[in-house]
Amino acid sequence: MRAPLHITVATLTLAAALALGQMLPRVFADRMPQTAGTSLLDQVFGEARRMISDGMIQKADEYFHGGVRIADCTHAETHAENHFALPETDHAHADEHDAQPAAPPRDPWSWINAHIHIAGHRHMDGGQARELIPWYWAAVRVEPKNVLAYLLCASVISQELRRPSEALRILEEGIRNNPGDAELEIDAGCIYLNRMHNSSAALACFERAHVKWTQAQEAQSPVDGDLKLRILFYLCYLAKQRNDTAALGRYFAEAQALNIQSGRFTAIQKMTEH
Amino acid sequence: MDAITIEQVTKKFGAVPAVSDLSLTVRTGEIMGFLGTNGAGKTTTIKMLLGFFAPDAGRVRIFGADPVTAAARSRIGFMPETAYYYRYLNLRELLRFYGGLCGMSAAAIRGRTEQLIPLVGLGDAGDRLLTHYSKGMLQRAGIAQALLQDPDLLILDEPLTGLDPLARIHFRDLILALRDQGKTVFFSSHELSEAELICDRVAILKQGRLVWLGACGDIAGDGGQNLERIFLHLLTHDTPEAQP
Amino acid sequence: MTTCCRQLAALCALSLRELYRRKDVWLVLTLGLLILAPLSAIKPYGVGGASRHLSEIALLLIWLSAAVIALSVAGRQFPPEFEHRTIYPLLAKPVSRTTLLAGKFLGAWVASVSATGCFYLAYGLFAGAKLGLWFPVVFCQAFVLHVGFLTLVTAFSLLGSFCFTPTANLTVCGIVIGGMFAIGQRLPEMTAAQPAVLRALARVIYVVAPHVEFFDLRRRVVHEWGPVGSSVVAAVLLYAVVYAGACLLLAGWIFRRKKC
Repeated sequence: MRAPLHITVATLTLAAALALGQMLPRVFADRMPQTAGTSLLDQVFGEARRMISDGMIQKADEYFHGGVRIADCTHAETHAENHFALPETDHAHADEHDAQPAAPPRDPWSWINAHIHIAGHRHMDGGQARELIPWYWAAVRVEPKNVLAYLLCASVISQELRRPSEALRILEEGIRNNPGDAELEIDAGCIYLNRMHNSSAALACFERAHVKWTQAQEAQSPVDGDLKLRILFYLCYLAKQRNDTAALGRYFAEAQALNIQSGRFTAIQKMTEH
Repeated sequence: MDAITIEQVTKKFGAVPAVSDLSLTVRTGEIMGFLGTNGAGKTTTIKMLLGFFAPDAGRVRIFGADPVTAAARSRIGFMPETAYYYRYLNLRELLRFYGGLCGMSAAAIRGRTEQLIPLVGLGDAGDRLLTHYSKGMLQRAGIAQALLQDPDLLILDEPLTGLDPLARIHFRDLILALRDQGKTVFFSSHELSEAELICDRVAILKQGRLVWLGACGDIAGDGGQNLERIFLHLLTHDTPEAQP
Repeated sequence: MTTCCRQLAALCALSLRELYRRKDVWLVLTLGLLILAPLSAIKPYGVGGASRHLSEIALLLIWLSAAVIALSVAGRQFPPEFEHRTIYPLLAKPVSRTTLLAGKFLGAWVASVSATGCFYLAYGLFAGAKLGLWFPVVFCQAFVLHVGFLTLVTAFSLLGSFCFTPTANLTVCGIVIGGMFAIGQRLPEMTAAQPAVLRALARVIYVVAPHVEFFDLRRRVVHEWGPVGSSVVAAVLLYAVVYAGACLLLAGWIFRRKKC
């Protein structure tokens, strides 16, 4: 007799919890990390999934630097010991190399720590970069809305492992999970253009990116002007390739309207001048 | 040489005296029963005999030596009142462990183990884990570990607890056989009838003081009383001094 | 000398039997296999050949399991003896309390090291088969330093078992060791901006608390960095021995005064 009562109480509690989970985000809209209508996992974990996913991206970054968090890197040890150059990387490493050598240890404990733990960093190259993939894979499994994980993963697979079709598959997965994101379309377009030399597929991607960016702006979502400039740069480049001067002029006008002075804008300007 | 010499021993825990001015001698080759109610100081005395702690006053000697020394303790076999031993071991492994602690060689332990297991009536349970032993079987295992290094003096704390009637008879025979081999047995007990049957002498303790000490043969001559009557009388009346 | 060796051997054998009959080690090994086998079969996005994440997870599991085994085995050496009254027949045997403590420490240490050795062997074979790296120098150094870690942790937990209840001991030791792993290295920098009293307190903790992070070469193993200098290994092992010795001296002092 007692067991069914326990089961009934447990079921009612669970139902109440689920009902509250659905109701509270509506009642306290904008005052909770959860938003109404999101999945049960989102409701339960809130921002935790994003944090774990970002942690995994950081882990991949650590792997890229030979297991060292770049914030902890004193760079004193490894410059001479082992250092790989990675010309095509997306990372900005110039500042890393300016790091000052660590101060000499002041006590025996610091002396041991300085010798036991890796103090400098190195970069992965080529095929070694496959070690990063499991962390990116895990990052998007934990949080499929983590666009950065898709972008970095596709970048490594395309640039380091030279497998553009696999990279495109990842970006397609990212686009399916984040249909409004323009950046994924841009990277897909870049891979079509630079790695697969397929201008028409690339053009389709950049045009979709252009539409998504515009839709986001119309929906009053926060938008990045630099991102649009990037889209316009590629659109201009492709228009110039097919001698479509009308499109070129239209895109240049859009770029001018953004009013961002950068190397990319100058490049667009040069394309239209010629 | 006497097996146990206790000279004017006093032990206090805080302000409470557990044993007061106790003097007692156990001769080699005799069975001495150490009787008293709960809290009379029996276990405290036994712990001093084993060197677990020193008396506040007086002194204790085992075959003339301080019980703290390994030499003295190598001549003692001790069985505690209730020990749950290591339940992940079987009896053979338990005896191997205690044999190692006594510094015995592997061959000596093996030989002694094969003697002791049937002797304590656990012939068919030597390879069974102790977790499957009953309380009575654990008591027998305790006797086996106490006898392991073939000690000259056996100190047994409430050895009859948990034993069925058959096992008691078996235990009684075992103790008597040990005496015949020249061993000294000193045991505390509540079981007056058993004590009367096997002890050469009996000491009765009341509130840490020795209130009666005598041979079991003296009891019959003491107005036809039995040990139970003496015990009851001593515990219910003020009895300041022990008989010699 | 022979008697003392036999006594120590008996106490070691008791701890080993307890550990392997309680099946903790087998459970951990099975759990490790259950976690690592499916992980190693996964080819994320069709990209095979990645192994560092597996090494990292395997070594993390080894460290966690070894720490838990060492803490619990060492913490279980004395309290059950008192609880089950087996301490009485033990102390009644011709064995000194110092030998008993040394034997209990040695038993817990041998049990933990043997279990950790099993884990490292399993990992070494796995890494050799997967990467073709058969027991490189840095891996062997990692094991040696891990043994140093177990020496320190075993003595620390044994000391704790005289001061706290078994559960409290496990919790306190777990917090101290986990905390030192997390912040031990950075304690002075973290408190640099704090008031002088707090800085002084942090300094005392920094000097006195066990620096378990000294023994952790996981990053070097996972990311295939070179081995550490032998003088550094010697210094870390010396630290472990001295720290463990201090803990054992203190534990011995408490044990000798403990009323049974």
